[in-house]
Amino acid sequence: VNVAVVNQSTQLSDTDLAFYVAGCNTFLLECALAWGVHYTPVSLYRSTYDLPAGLTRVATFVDELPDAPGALAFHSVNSDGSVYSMMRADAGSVGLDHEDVEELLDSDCSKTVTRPDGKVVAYEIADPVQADTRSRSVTVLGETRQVQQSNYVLPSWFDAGGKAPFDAFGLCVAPFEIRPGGYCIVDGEAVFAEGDEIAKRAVEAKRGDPGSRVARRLEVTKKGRP
Amino acid sequence: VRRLLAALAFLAACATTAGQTAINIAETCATGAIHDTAVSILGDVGTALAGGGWEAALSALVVKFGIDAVKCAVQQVASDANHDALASGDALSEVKATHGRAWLAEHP
Repeated sequence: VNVAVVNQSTQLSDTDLAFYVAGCNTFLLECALAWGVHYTPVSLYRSTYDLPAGLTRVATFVDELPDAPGALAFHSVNSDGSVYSMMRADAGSVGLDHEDVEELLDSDCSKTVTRPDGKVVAYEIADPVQADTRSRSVTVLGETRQVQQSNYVLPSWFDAGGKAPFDAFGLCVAPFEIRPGGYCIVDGEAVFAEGDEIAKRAVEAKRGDPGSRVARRLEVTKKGRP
Repeated sequence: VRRLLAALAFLAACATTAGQTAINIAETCATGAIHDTAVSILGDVGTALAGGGWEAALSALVVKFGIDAVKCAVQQVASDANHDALASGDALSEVKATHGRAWLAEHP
C-alpha cells in the first residue's frame, strides 16, 4: 500500500509539500525499523483520479476541516472501509507525520494495550507526545530545507516494566507518560497531562467526526470491549 | 543515506539501460529555474507515472513545463519509487519505478 498525499489547499505550495513528503518517508522508515513493522511509503500525487484502485490510502491537505472544526488533522473511514486522512495546511509536516505514523502501527484503530491496573490504553503512538517536534534536514533535487518532524513513542512506552528510551526523542521518563500537549485514550476517556487545557480542547475538536481516530478510540477502549 | 544509495543505484541502472543519462542530477536539476519547476511538479509526475496512460501524461507535462524539468522530476520520483519498492514491496512504487526507468531510457 502506498499513502497518496494530495494537495487541495490554496495555502500550501506543491514545493513545500514535496519536502514534507520526503521528510515523512525518512521518518516512517525509521519508525518502522524501531517498531519492527512493515514500512508504508508516502508519495506525492497531483490527484488520485487515475491511480490503480486498492493500492493507495489517501492523505489530503485542505484549507479547512468542516467535519472537525478546530482540529488540525484527522483520520476517518469511507463507507467502503478505506482509510483516509485530512490535514489542514497549517498542520504542516508534523500533521503528515502524525497521521501516517499512527496508520503504520494500527490503520483501523483496533489495537489496545491493557495496563497492569486493568485500564485499556489505545495503541496510538504519536498522541502522547504530539506536541514534541524537532527539525530535520530534507534534500529534494539538491535543495536542502529544514522540516519539522513529529515525535512518537516506542514499544517500551506500552510496557509497564519497559526501559528507556520510551519515545523517539528520549523525552519521556516512564512508560505511559503523557507529555505536555499530548493525550492518551484510556478506558474510553481522553487523558491529558495535568492541567493541559489546550490539548483537551484540541481532542474535543476531533470528536466531531464519528469515523475519526479519536471517536473510534474512545469507543474501542471502553471497558468490556475487545 | 539509504535514499542516496537507492538514488545512486537507480541512476546506475538507468545509465546501464540508456548508455548514459543526459541530465546530471547533481548539477542541472539542483539549481535555478529548472530545479524550481522540477520540485513543483513532483506530484504531477507521480500521478503520471502511476497511471495507465503514463507516456501520454508525461508528454503533456513536457509540453507544459519543458523536457529538462520533467526529466529531473522523473528521475527524482522514479528513484524514490525504486527505493520505496525495495523497502516495502509496494506494488504502485514498483510501477512508478518501472515506468520512470523506461521513460528515461527513451529520453537520454
